[in-house]
Amino acid sequence: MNAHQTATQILAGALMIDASAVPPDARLGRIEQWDSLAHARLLLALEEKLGRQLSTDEAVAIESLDDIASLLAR
Amino acid sequence: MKLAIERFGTIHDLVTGVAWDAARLAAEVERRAANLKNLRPGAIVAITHGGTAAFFADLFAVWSTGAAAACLDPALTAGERDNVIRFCGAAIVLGEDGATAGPRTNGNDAPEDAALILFTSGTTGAPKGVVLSSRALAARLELNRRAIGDATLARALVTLPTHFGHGLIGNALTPLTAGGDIALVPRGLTLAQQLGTLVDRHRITFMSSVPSLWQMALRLSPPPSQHTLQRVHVGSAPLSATTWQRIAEWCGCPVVNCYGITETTNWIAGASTAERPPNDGFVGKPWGGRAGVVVNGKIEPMGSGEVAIQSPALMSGYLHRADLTDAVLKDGWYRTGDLGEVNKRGEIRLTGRAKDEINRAGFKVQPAEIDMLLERHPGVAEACTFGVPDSISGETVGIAIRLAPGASETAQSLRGWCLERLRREAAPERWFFVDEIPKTSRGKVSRETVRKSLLEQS
Repeated sequence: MNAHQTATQILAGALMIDASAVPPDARLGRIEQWDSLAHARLLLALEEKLGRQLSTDEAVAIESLDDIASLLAR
Repeated sequence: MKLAIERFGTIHDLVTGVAWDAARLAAEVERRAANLKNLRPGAIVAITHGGTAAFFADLFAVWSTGAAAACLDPALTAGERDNVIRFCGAAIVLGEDGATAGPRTNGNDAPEDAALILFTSGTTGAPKGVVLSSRALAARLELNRRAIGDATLARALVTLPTHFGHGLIGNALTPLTAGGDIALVPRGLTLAQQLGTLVDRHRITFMSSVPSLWQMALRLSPPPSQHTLQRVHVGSAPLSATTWQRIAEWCGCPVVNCYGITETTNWIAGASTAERPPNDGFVGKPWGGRAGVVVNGKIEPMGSGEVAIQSPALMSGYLHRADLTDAVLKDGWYRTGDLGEVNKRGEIRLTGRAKDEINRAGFKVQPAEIDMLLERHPGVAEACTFGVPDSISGETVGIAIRLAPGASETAQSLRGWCLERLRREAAPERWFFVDEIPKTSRGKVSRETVRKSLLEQS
């Protein structure tokens, strides 16, 4: 599974929707379910995946599916 | 409800950019009250906007006439709003754009001395409106001020909505009546990202909050650096000792885990990190009034069971719902539906919940209301709503759906349908499609059974 696919799965889990319902250009605020609570769920899921806490700068920079994928690919 | 507005601090409304000191606020209240003449005592005025200085001016104008204010969630759908306004029999409806006549019918008045009506659920079916009297509200504000201290309430940041008892009474009216200033700010992610900056910029001394704000702010905002915070409250949902400790480190001041319910007119108790280290579920000793537990139908001063509260600030009852009121208000005690322990010092530790209400990030959702709504959908044969544990919001709204034969509805289509009829925070997030709703061995639907069986499978 590449970083984009992993990112899609993590995002879908945080938004509690099916991965097939996540568009490749998904952005914060553009998907109805991607609200502040879902965003916090996403940050927590990323911390679990990476096994460390995100820095404030990293957390603030996440606004799209691409941002999640590039964080995971690092 | 009588208020000494001339002694209030300034309302800094960062949403619309206005700042009203006591004199300006008093003038606004007087101007608005002039449009509310000829209201009979016991009349109800619905306020459908919130979170701004104009909201407070409208609220205080209603109170100056002796009428009761029903503060509605501005995010209600049009259908929900009409339903609640009809149920209240509101004489006047105050929206963002001014006043319109309500559908008031005779014999629908609020109970004597009613000041505030807050809806905790039931906006699609029969609404559940908590009626708070002027006396209860005045008692709560006084008890809050004594517990917190007026100096600490000098400058408060309002992080919560104003149709929410915790936000309106605790976070906003308590500092205002103590002569403090309040800052009204945009909420959600913006607030979480800017929290530290806002605290520094406005030299905030006090704020209240729900745990889910911290799930975001601890990750997204650097802590404040000016050391102005003196006390921070967290309430409306369970707070883990770990998060409590992290919040205290971020704030650099005592953080109080508060217990309060709309029915008890906001906070009834709180435990502070200034007195002992964070401890799961511990909410301390009541501030005025006392706690007991229901054991075999009787209230005992200590033990474990359903927590009951006696206080000068209990609700009068649920608006036009004597059946619901009688079930929870007995002999001067309010039965909270929360499970816990009360020790010999009268301190409360919360351990769980006896009622099947869902607590999503502090906002309460009644599952029966959502079942009934979904069962009106032609493609749904049966629905069962339940809380799903969630690390961020405490609980999210889950629902099991048995579709009608031949129906092809999906989670996406049903959620879209719900959002046209239901405020967003109550719309189910986790959808489970089943051939049959699991029943207990006696053939009954139990939300607990459904929740367990579906969550174990997923």
